Amino acid sequence: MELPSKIVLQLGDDRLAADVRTVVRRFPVEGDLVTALDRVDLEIPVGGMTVVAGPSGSGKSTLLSLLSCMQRPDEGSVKIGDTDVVVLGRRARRELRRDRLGIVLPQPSENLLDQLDAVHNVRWAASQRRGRPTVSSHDELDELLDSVGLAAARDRRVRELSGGEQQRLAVACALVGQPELVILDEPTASLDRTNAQSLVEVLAGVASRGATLVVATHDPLVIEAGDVIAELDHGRRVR
Amino acid sequence: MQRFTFQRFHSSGTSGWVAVAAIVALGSACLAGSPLYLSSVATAAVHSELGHICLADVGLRIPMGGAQPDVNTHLEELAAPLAAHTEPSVLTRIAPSISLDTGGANARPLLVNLLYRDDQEQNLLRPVKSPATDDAVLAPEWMRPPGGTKPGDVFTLFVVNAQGKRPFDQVVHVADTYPLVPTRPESSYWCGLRAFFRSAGSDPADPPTPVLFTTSRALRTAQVFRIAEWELRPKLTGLSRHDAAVLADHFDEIAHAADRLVDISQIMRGRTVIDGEPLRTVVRHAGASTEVVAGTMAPVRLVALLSSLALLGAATALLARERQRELRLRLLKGQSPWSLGLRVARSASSAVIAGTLVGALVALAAVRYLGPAPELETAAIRSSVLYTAIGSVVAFVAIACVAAARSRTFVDARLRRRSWVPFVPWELVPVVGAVACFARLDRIGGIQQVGAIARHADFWAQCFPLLAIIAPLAVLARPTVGLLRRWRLAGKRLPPSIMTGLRRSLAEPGVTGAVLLATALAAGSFTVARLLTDSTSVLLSEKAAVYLGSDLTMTTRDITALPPPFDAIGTIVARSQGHSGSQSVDLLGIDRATFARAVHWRNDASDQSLNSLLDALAQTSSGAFPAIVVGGTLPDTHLESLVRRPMEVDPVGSARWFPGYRNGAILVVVDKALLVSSGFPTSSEILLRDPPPDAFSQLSTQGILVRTPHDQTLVFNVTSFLTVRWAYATLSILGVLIGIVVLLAQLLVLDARRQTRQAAHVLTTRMGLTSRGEAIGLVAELAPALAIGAALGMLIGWLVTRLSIARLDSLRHLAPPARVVAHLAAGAPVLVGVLGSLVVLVSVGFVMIKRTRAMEVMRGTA
Repeated sequence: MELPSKIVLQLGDDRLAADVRTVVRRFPVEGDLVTALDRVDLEIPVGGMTVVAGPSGSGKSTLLSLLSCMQRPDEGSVKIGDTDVVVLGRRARRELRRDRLGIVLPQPSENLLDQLDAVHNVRWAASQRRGRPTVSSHDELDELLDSVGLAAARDRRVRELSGGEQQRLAVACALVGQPELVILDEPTASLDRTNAQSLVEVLAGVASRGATLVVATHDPLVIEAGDVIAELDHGRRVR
Repeated sequence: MQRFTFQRFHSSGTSGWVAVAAIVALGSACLAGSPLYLSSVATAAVHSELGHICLADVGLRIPMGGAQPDVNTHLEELAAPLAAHTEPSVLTRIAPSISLDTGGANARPLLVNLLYRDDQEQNLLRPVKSPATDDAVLAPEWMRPPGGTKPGDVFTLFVVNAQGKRPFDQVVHVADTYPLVPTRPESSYWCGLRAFFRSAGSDPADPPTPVLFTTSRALRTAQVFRIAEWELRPKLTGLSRHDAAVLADHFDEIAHAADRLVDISQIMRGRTVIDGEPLRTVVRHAGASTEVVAGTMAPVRLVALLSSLALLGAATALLARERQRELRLRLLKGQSPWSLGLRVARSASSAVIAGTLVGALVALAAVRYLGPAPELETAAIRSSVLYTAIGSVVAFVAIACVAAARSRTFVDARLRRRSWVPFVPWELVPVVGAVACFARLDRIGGIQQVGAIARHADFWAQCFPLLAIIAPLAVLARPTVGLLRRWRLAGKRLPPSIMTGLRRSLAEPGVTGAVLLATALAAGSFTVARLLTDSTSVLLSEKAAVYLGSDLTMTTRDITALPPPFDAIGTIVARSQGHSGSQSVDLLGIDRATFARAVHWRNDASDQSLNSLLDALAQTSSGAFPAIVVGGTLPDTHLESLVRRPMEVDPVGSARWFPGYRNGAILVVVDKALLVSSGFPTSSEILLRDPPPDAFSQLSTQGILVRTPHDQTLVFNVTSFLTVRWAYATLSILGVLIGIVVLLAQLLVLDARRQTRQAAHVLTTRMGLTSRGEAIGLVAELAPALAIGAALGMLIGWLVTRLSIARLDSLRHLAPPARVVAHLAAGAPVLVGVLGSLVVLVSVGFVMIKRTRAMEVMRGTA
């Protein structure tokens, strides 16, 4: 499974792909404020796979939603590259999400347009990028789909793909346009062991080629494959 | 790169878009229907006004001096362009006050009027022989000499001038006789000439001046025909208010042209020019009616539009939720909520356009075929097109805004934070509004009557019935939802199918509460409209009956009893006037034996029954006349007639009102025989209850001298009553519209719950629930909210009507006071609506679950 040359970043870069500093995030629940993240720090190096581990309710998804610019922290700072996203307006955050991030949600079907076939999902994802190099030829598309093991399934509709295939297709869609950071929230949560193993291999391959991945998971398979491990418990970083 | 459009990704079924189209159609029907309905009201008001008056009085009448055939031709040319809205013109020639010698030995010449009118022979009460010769005339059969006039009689017509000579002297013979031309009710053909068929004297026994008809060309070109009248009447068929207004202007133009062309004799025996002004007055009255209906319609239209808009927002939100996955994905890819909103709106554009067109066409058809009149004005059609165009743009923007706002919450959890909105006591707004409107209604009343014409409906006062329905429902909203939430585990002991259905509705207390309250609003609006219309109709009849004494009254003379069949439905009363102290009083002498069967009696008119009051009149006391005092207390029991005849009365009963009670003056009811014997000058009246239409003619034929018949239509302006009916009809329409809204909302909810319902179906069928059980479950889920809502709405509607009926009474000064007239049939449409909705909803739900693909549901891909 080879990653297309266009999406390989320079390995060994000392810069941080993302930097989270003492973030606090609280939610109102039935009249009370519940602290989902309590002064959490996280440095995400460029290239490789950073795994955010922890049990359910530990704050993994909240942390990823801050990185995805879907929410803003109540305190602390979140930087993507050199950009402090906390001070960005809604429009700027949206543009950052569009141009510099790739996002994969836990449910495979939530990442794809199920009326389209695999290749058109990737094309559509590419069409959303602005100012980023995107796939433009059949060969590049095939290369990208091949990198996630879906070369043979390019013309199959989403409904005709298995859960594992759908999630790998979602990874391909997230990778298109060489985003600075690919954020995956529990990518193996709804997969069986075989499919999860296959996806982890894809992610490891992608990371080894220089892509920067942040994966929230409690799946040991994914944790084992991570280059950097950060563990959360009850909203605090414990490792 | 291939361009991807929203439509390509559109994965939901068509039901959502059908719902959007239906809701837009509702709003469009409201917007398009309003100007069309008002136009229809205006036209119906014109028709109603014209239908109850002599068309000759509102047509064009050009009296000319003598025969002027060239002018007639010119007038015909001027009138030719108006042929679509006018009847063919009619020419009348009148030779007034001609002497007639009957040829008897000692007979004195009579004064007669000689008349010719186009088609005169075809418009008499019975066929007559056409005069065969040039010297023939038709004579009234009642004309003297005694014994009547018969065909073959020979008369001499002549005119004597100042010198005693006869410039006109013509022997004529009677070709045939014709029956009396009735003046009550008037013949449409002869009504413009009523002055020639009515007695000019005050004594009803005096016959009018005889009219002889001629068809002789030679005779009618004689100089004695000093008046020639050219008449052009409006034609009701297809005549809208605008047409009538234009026609009135044309009448003015023709009258103006005629003024320059002909020798118009302005004051020949009262035959004056009638131009466009009377018709313009009719148009003005129609405009007043339209304003009244518009005033009542304004709040109704506002509520209907807001309901449609709210439902459109809810439908869009449900659609957005259904496609949450796709929208969220797009947002994650960086698309803006507004771009998504625009895309959703753009994809909805065909549904919006289709809904707009369907709504406008439905409104057009409904007003045309169910409205007060089918004729619609061009300006109204233009307005409705403009309004619907604006409405469709507003719908488009609303869909975009709601979809955008809804989309934002899919990625930004911050927007789902607890807000202060639920804590705002918004229900106080309709409560305060209802109280303020009630105060205004109490102060200025409902539809204002100026003379006999309904003139003005105050917007805020007319808002009261609607706000009075909304206010209690708004107050009930939170407790209802709270109660439903508390009862979410209710029905433990019920059969599984019923419990499942019940719990399904209780699981979403917000939706169920909204359906219940919206149903109540629909039922309440409809009930109020129905009760107000029915009560107003009955009330006007009752007021007319009290004012007149019964359904039909007429003055009479010299009779003591009525002939059959009128003796069973009629009575003869005597009326007089007098003073009690310094106060004027009316006196009514009644025949105790026949009075009760000839009048309408309402039990709240007096604390005593009518029979006991009549019995009391029979009491004898120390010389004083037993009397019932109506409408107040007598300052003095010693009465005096206008010619100072005394009468001592003994009040033996009292009533708040009584048949024949008028204008708020105290009425003293005594025995007729006593009143007549008292020396008070009296006049006699016949009162008839539920009389045949030709009662007046029948009595005349039987030789009874009757005059001035009055019935309800002569007491109250029919158009005013119709205006009240048209105004309240808008509330009925609102009830129906909200009923449709509720049905659509329920269908939307069914559609939105499709997946969970199908999943539940797969589960419950595996647990052994039968199809029948599923159907029962659906009924248990849907019926309670509809039934409770309908019952609550009808109850509130009845209470609101009870509270407002007296204040909406536009004729408060006339007895009796208003009351709610509730027939069981008034609730029937609501019950039919609820049952119909239930059948539709259960059928749709049943079909939905029967189409479940169990394997797909279990895989989670359904």
